[in-house]
Amino acid sequence: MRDSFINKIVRDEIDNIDASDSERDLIYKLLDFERRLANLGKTRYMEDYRRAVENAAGAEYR
Amino acid sequence: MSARSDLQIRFLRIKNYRQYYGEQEIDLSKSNGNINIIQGENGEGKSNILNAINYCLYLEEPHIKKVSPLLPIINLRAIREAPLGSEVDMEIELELGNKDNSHRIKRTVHMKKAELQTDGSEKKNYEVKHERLGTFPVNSATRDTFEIKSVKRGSSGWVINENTESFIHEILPKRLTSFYFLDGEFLESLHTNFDQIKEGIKEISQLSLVLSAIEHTKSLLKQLEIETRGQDPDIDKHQEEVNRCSEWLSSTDGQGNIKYSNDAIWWKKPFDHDELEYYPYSGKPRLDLKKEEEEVLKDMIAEIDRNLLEHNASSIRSWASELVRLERTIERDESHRDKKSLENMNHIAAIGPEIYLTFCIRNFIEFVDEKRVRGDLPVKWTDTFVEDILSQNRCICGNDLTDVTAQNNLLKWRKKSKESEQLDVAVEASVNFKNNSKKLKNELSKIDQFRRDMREYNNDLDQHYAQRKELEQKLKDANEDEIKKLMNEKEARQNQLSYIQRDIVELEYEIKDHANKFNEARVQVSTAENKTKSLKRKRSTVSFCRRTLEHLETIRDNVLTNMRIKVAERTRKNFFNLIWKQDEFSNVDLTDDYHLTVIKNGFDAVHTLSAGERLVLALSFIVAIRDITGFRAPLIIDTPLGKISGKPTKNIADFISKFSQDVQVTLLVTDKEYQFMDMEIEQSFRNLIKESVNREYALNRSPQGNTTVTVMK
Repeated sequence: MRDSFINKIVRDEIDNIDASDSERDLIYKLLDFERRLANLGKTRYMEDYRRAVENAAGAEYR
Repeated sequence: MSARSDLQIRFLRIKNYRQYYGEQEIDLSKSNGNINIIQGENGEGKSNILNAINYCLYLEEPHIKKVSPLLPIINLRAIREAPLGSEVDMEIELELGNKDNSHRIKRTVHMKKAELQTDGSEKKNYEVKHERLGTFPVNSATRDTFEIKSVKRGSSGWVINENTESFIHEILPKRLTSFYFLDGEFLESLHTNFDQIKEGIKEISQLSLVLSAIEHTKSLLKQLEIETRGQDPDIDKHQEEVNRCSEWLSSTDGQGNIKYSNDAIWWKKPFDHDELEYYPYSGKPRLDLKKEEEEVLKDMIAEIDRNLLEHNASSIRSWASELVRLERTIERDESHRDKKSLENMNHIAAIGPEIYLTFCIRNFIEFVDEKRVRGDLPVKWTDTFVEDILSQNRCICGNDLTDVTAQNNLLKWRKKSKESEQLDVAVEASVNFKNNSKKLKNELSKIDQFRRDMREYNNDLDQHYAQRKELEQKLKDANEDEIKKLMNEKEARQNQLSYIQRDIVELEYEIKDHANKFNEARVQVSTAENKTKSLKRKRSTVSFCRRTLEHLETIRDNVLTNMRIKVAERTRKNFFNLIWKQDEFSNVDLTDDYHLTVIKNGFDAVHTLSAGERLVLALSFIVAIRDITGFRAPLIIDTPLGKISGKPTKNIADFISKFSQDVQVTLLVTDKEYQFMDMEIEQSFRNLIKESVNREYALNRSPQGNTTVTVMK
C-alpha cells in the first residue's frame, strides 16, 4: 500500500520521522483516507478514520 | 504512483460535442515519437478538445469561452437535423492506459427533442437552461450517463468498473488538472500567481493530504479529549495526589525522609525546599531517630536524677526524691488533662452544629406552636379522601355533589389544602426538634462538666508546677557547684526533650495525614478507573492521536521546506537550460512565501519578463514539480508558442522533445505556431520537433461552423 499512492517526497519524510511502527502505519492509512476523501469530495470515511486511529492506538496499548 | 506512471491517452472519440458534428476520432496511441499535434485556427475547437477530455473525466469544461455555456452541450446541427420526438446523443469516450492496464471512459448526454411550440418560433424552443449542459429546447428531456470499462492486459475482455469516479481520481486526480491539461493563459500568468504555485506544490507533493490529515486528526483529537474529560474530570487530580503521597511515604523508609542524593550523608526535610534543615544520616528513619533521641535525653535526665538521689547530703536526696515523685505526678496529670481535653474537643465537634443552630430552632418551634395554638394550621387532607366523596356524589356533611360547580369547588379546596400541607410537615419537624433540644441540654451540661474538670486539673497542675519550682530552687540554692551543674544540665535536657517530643507529635501527624490522603486518593482513582473501564484505553488513544498529530506536523514542515528547495533547484536548472539569454539572468529562486524570482542585473525581473521568458519560467516550474514527484500523467498544452518566436522557439522545441521521451505530450497549436517558418532561426516548430512527433491532426471548420478532425497531410 505504501508505494501505491504516496509519492517519494512524503514517503521519505514519513519513513524518517521518529515514530513507532504502528504510528507510521496509521499515518499511511490516514493519508490514504485523505486521498479518497479528496477524490470523492465526501466525508463518508470519517467513521473509518476514527476507527483507524482507535485500532492503531489499541494495538499499541495491548 | 504506479497506476499513472507512463499513462497515455490512447484515443479520444467525440460525437456531437459542441462544434464537433457527428463522430470524430483522434488516435493518440504511440507509434513513433511521443508528441501529438492537433492543429487548428482560433475558434476551430482546440480548447474544446481540452474541454471534452475534462468533461468526460470530471464533468467540467474549465477552458470554455464565455459565450459557449449559452449553447447546448450537444451539437446544434445534430439537434436541428433530428426529427421531433427523437433522441439526440452526445458522446465523449477516451481510452487511458499504460503497459499494464487499459481504461475506457465514456460519458453520454441524451436529449429527447421536444415538439415545436404552437407558434412555430424556433427561438422560444431554446429557453431551458441546464446548469451543466447549456440551453435546450423547451420541454426537451436531458439525461447524462456515465460508464467506465477497464481491462488488464491479457484479460479476456472489458469489465465495467463499479466505482468509476473514484477510479478516475486515482489515475488522474482532478485537483491536479492545472498541471497536466494546460492552456496558454495559465502558463502566461503562472509566474505571478503565487497561490497557484503554492497550491501546485502542495497538491503535487501530496502535502494537501498531510494538511487535511492534520485538520482531521486535530478535530478527532479534540473530540476524543472531550469524551475522555467527560468520563472523570478529577482522575488526574486523584492520580497526582496518589503519586505525591506515595513518593512521600515510600521515600527511603516510608517514614517521611527523602534521601537528599544517592551518596548523601544528610537527610533533607521532605517538601520544605526553602527550609534548609538537614538531619544527619543514621541509616534509620527520621521518626525512629527522633524517638531514639528522646530516649537518650530521658536516660540522661534519669542519670542526673540518680546522681541527685544518691547524693551524700540527706536534704539533697530528700528534695531530689520529692522532685522525681512530683515530676511523675505532673507527667501523669498532664496526660490525664490532655486526654480529657481531646475528649472534650471531639464532643464539641460532634454537637457543635446543633449548638450553633439552637437559637434558630427555638424560634422555629415557637413560630409553629403559635400557629397551632391559634388554629392556623390545616387539617391534613389526602387525595384518596376527596376522591372517595366525589365518587359517592355526597359530602360527609350531607351536601349533594352531583352538581359540577360543587365538584369544582371541592377540587379547588383540595388544591388549596394541599398547598397548606407544607405547614403540616413543619409541625412534624418541630416535634423532632423539640425531642432533640431536650438531648441538647444534656450535651451542654457535659461540656460544663468538662470545663470544671479541666479547671481542677489545671489548678492541681499549677500547684505541682509551683512545688516543682520551689524544689528546683532549693536544689539550686544548695550551695554546691555539682548540684547546680546537674540542675542546669537537667533543665537544658528537659528543654531539648520537649522540642524533640513536639517534633515527634508533628511528624506522626504528618505521616498519618499523608497515609490517609494516599489511601483516600487511591480509593478515588480506583473507583474512577473501575467506573470507566474504557477510560485508560481512551486516554491511550488520545495520547496516540496526539503523537500522530505531532508526526504529521513534522512531516508537513519537512515536506514543505524540502519540496520548496528541490523545486527551486530544478526550476533554476530547467530555466537556464531553456533560456536563450543566459548571461542576462543570474538566478531563479522560490522564496519562503512561494514567490518565483528571476534575478536580472541584480534585481528581481519576474514582472518584466517577455512572453517567451514567462513561458520558459512556467514550463521550467511545471516540469520541475513533475520530475521531483515522479508525476507522469500525459501533458496537453493549448497554444504553447502563441507569443514566442526566434531562438526561444528552438529551445522550447528541444526541451519538449526531450521531455516527451518519458511523458506523452499533446500540443494544441495554430497553423502559425506550428508550420510557419521562423525567419530568425530559419525553421518551423514542426521541423524542430519532427523526430519526436507521433501523430498530427488538423481541425477543419465548415462554413456552418462545425468542426471535423482529419489526419494532417
